Amino acid sequence: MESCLSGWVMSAIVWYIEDDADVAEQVSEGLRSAGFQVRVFSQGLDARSALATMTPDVLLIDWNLPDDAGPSLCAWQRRRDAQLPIMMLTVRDDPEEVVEGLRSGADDYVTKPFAMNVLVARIETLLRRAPAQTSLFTCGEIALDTGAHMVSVGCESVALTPLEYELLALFMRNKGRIVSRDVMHATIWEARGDYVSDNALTVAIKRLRAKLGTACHLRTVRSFGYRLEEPL
Amino acid sequence: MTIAVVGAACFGVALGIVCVGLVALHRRHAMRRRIDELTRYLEQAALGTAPALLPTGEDDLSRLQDELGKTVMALQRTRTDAVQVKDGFARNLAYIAHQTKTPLAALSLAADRLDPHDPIALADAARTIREQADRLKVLYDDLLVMARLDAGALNLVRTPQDVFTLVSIAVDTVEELADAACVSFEIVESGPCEVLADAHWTCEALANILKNCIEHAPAGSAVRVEYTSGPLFVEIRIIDEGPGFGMHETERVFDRFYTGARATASATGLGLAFAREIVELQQGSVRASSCSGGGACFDIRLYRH
Repeated sequence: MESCLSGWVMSAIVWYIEDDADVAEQVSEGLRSAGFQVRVFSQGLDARSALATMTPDVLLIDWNLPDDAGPSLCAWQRRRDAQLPIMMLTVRDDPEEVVEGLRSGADDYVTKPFAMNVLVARIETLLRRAPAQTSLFTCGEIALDTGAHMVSVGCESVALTPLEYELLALFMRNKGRIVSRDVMHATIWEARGDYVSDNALTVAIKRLRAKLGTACHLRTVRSFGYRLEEPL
Repeated sequence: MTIAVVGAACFGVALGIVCVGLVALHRRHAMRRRIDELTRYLEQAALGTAPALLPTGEDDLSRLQDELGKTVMALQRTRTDAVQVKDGFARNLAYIAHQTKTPLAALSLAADRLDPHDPIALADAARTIREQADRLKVLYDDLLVMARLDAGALNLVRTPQDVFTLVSIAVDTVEELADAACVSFEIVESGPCEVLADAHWTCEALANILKNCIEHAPAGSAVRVEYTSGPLFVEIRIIDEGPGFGMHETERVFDRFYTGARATASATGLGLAFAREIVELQQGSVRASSCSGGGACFDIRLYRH
């Protein structure tokens, strides 16, 4: 099952918007070596025209394009399609850039210079996200069934509090994406009609990680949020 | 008789006029002397020599003198600040030159060793390139922060933040480093507690202090993080089981480029400096001391309002 899945993932189509020709060439080469098909656009406008008629599997956007083309392209595409994974390439871990990017609809970001295997792993995880209609979510050994309201690690079921369950469900639905604290608050509010403090969220995540043990690959992404990753 | 009276009167008037004239001349002379004094004062200030304080007195020019004195002092302060900034830039440049010299030399040598016919040399060169690229990346990140701090371009937005959350994020950020060094963290949960802080940069500052602890703590030991709150501020305390500080080091550890007696080869001397600068830009404070057990103790104070 794993090899079939990775076979499908490996021939995925990446559209890469980057105005620096040298960087574009190096990154494309790296992605092609990992098995992706890559098409490079040097301008946001060209990508928009192409997106009107076709959709790739992943959109990779250099956040440093001139004329703010990165954020505006991302916001434009997100309005048209909530599902297409979008990855930002940023110049630095600038909180303003990253927060703006996540708010305009990007799923994740990688800072240049980055290790190619990190970019590949992140793109693969985004591609492995479950379709919207499913009720069963998996990540490594963790399985969450929203229909039966059950969580298991391997063969053992795990007892979670309602808050821990809602948070895990949120992360599983958004595997590979950075989930911001704002989104966490909003989701809990919608699910339970309850405002939960930052302190309570942080404590719940600590408990959740302890209960899931080594199967849990929930990464803290600085102060931006959390990202559930597939084990390598 | 009348001629004598008229004559005396005329003489009196003439004497009066002469007296008035003499007084007027004297005043003009005194005024000119004062103006000369003030002019000399300004000339000395322009030359950069510290001019002597002028005698204070109440005359028509005393207000002008006060204002001149204040202006000259302000100019001297500006000049001192400018010199300090220039020295700061010179030190930064010297640091950059020093830090890039070794990686550049190593990369250059590695490029020469890239021989496809010698797999051992090739592997060795590839490893060197990876190591030095990683080292340059750390330097690059530090330089960006330094440039923004020096330009006053670090945009700190203080909003209410939960302290346990800030500390947890900082600990998570250094998790990989801690695992590699076999150092664990213990965060004491003391309930919800808010401070006014910039989330991103405060976590960076805390993470820098935690990294310092990881570098000095022995393998297998724990770094303890606790916080206490009062009505005005919160104090976060970070304690490690390392060797602590030498005498007189506790003041210097937060200086830029100070790497201390027990620094590792890759120490930049900037982590703690940035931590303090970021905290102080938020009206907070950072202090280092040696614990009774011998380890290092950092106290970070952040204000709640």
